Amino acid sequence: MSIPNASTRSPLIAVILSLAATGLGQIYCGRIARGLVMFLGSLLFAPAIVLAALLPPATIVLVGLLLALLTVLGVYVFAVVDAFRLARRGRHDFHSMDYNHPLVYALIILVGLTYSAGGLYFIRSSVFEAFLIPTASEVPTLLPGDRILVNKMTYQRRLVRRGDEVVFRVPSQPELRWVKRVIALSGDTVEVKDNEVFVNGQQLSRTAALGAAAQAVNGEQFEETNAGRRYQIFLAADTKPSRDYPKAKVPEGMCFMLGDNRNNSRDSRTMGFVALGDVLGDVQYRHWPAATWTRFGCLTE
Amino acid sequence: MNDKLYDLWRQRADAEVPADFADRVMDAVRREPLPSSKGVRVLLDTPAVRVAACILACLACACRMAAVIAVFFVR
Repeated sequence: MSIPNASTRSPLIAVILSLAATGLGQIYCGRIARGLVMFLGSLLFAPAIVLAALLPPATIVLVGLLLALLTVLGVYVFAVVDAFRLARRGRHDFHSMDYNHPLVYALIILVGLTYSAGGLYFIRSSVFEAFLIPTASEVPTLLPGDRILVNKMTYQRRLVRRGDEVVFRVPSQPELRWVKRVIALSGDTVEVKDNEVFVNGQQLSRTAALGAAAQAVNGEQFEETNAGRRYQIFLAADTKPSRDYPKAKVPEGMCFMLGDNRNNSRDSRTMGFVALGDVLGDVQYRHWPAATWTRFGCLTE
Repeated sequence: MNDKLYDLWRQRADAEVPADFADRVMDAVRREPLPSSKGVRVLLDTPAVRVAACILACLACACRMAAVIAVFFVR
């Protein structure tokens, strides 16, 4: 129902409302459909992030997610400008509607803020979490200063696999998060001898690889294959080889982890097995690489 | 339904309603802004309240924008 009255629209209130909740400035100016579209559009960031986590990892997915989030931010800014213009245009001839009420505005602001806070908590705890790599234990895969995105939904859909690069809670210090590569799983036998890794009695195959890390630091870089998964490892020449690990069977519900920088990594050789329940997610993206932007994108491509 | 009620009231009141009755009522409504919006406008006439409202709105906007891109930031 429309109630004509002498109420005018204040550009200041329109801007304030639009800042508090995207689209609310439009609703204040009587454009309910436009306002609701903008409001709902501003809430799309959480579904976009969840969708990116569900899609197979690829650089294009990360780029798409970045573009989607930038679009949402663009909607935020556009809504403020649009609300200001609408309020100026509709200053003298405005018909107040039922929904033009402070309680309605307060409700929309509350829903928007609650959704943002809840969405952020849900995303960080269950979808994606960013980490900064502080050490060189995962060179050449991850360099110190790399910022990575860890997908926490991966292991809700499939089991941990050999060759996965994962983030996990350190068994002795649960508040710490480390990143290592899964080498062996429950029931596998594992042995490390003179920097050679044996899983179920078979040596993991290696081929020499020429990489930036091997060129920058004195050492050898290899491509190692584990259960069909290929990844790069690094054996620094100026550090003594890490200790061997005697042949052992991985207990039920546990896994064996190694750092890719084999001579410069604290991993299962020193800390023992890691519970699969302590694995938080797999490392999927380098969204802010340390050395060069050519390393931006998916880890497994 | 409203017409029925209005006719009932007219019969009960036995009142003579001038021809421009509806127009006068609507003119009165137009002259008077809704109490709620009037209250907000009066409140925002105070500079301190206006500044506070702007700051709060900017904070809310910053929080919402931060929530969108926070997935890329390390805790």
